[in-house]
Amino acid sequence: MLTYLANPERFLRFARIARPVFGVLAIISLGYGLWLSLIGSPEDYQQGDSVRLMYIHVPAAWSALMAYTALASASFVSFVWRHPLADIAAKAFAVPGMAFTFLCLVTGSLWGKPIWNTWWQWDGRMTSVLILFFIYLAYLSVGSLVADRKKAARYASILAMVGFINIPIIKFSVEWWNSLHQPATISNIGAPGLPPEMLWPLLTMVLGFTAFFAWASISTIQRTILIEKSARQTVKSGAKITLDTL
Amino acid sequence: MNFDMIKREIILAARSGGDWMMGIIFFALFLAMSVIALGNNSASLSALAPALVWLAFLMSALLSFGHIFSGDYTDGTLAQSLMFRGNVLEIVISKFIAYIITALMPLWLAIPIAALLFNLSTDVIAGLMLAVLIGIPAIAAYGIFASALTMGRGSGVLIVLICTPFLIPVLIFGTNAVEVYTLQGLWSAPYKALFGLSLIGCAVAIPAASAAIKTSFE
Repeated sequence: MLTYLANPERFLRFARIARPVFGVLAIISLGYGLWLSLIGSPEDYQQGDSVRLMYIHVPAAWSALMAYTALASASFVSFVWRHPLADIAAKAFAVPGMAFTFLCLVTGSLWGKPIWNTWWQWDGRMTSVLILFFIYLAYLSVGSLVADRKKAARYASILAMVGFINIPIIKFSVEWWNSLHQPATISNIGAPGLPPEMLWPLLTMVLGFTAFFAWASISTIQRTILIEKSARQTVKSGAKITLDTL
Repeated sequence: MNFDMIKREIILAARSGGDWMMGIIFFALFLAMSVIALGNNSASLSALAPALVWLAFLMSALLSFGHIFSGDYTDGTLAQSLMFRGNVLEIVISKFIAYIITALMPLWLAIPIAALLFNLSTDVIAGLMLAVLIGIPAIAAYGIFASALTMGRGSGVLIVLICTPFLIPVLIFGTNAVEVYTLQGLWSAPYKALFGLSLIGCAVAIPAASAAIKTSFE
C-alpha cells in the first residue's frame, strides 16, 4: 500500500478519489457526532453539560498522538530512504497534529474551569500534552529554518525521530513528578466505564477527527506535489519560450 | 573520540580571554536575581535552593549551546576536520567531551559556592552535585544535538525550544534526587533514572547530532 503510494503520480490518482471520500466522511461523521454529542446524548449526572467538551477533547488528544506517530513514521521513511513524498507527508501531518494538540489543551482548559475551578492544573497528562505541543512547534520551526527544502526536511525528520523516542520518557517522568508533588486529580474519565449513549458519540467524533486528519493531510500533500510539478513545468516552458524567441 | 580535538578545544577555551567563565557569571547572576525576586527569607530560600541551582545550571547551559558548533561551522574548521577525518561521529563525541570539560565542569564546580550562599547542609550539597554530575551527559548530549540541528541559524530561542522538552525529565529527576538524597542516598530511584536518562541521551542525541552535521554538508 505504502510502496504503491510512494510514486507521486500514483498518489495523485489515489488522492483524486480518496480526498473527497475522506472529506465527505469527515463532514458526515463530524456533523452527526456533533449533533449526538451536543443534543443527542445525556448530561452527566455530576458534570452536567460540561461533559460535552469531552467529545471534542478526547478525540483531539488521540488524533494529536496519532498525528505524531504518523509524522515520526514518515520522518523515518524520509530519513532512511530519502523519499521526497515522505518529506512532504511528514510536514503535512505536522500542522493538523499541532492544531489537534492546541484544541486538546484549549478544550481541557475550558472544561477545567467549571469542574476543577481552575484553567490549568499541572496534572501529568496536561503537562505532557503541553510538552507535545512544544515538540510540534520545534519541529515546524526547524522545518522552516533552511531555505533548501530537502535539507530542512532532513533536519526536521531527525528532530521528529528524537522526539518520538523521548515522548514515552517525558510522559513517564511527568507522571512520576506529578504523583510526588500533587494528590491524585480526578482526571480519569475511564473510557471503558463509559455508558453506550456516551461512547457512541465519542467514537463517531473519533472517526470524524481521523477522517478530517486524512482529508487535511492528503490535500496538503496533493497541493505540494502539484505546486512542485507546475514549478518544474514553468521552468520547462520558460526555457522553450526563450529558445523560440532566439 | 580524538584527543587532539579535545586538546584543541581546551586550548581555545583557555585562550578565549575568559569566555568559558561567562557561564559561571550567568549562573551567579541568575541566582542573585532569584534571591532578590523571592525575598531574603533564609528558611524558605534554603528549601527552594536545590531547584534554583538546577534551574540556574540548565539556563546557563541552554545559553551556551548555541556556540558549540556555530564558531567551527562559520570559520570552516568543521568542514576541514570533516574532510580530514571523515568520521562525523568521532568529531561529535570529541566535541561532546570537550564541551563537558570546558563549559559544564566549571559550572559544576561552581555549585558548592552557590550552595554556600543559601546555607545548605553538606548532605544537600553532595546530593545536588551528584545529581547534576549524573545528569551532565544528558544535558550535553541534547545541547550538542540542538546546536548541530541549528548550526548558528535562527534565534537562540529555537535552541531552547528544541532542548527543553528533552531536558524536562532531567529536571524532574534531578530535583527529586536532591530531595531523597538525605534519606535514601545515591542508590535511590531518581539517581538511577537520571543515569538512565544520560545513557539514553547519549545513545539517541549524539548519533542524531552527527546525522544533522552530515546533512549540513550535503
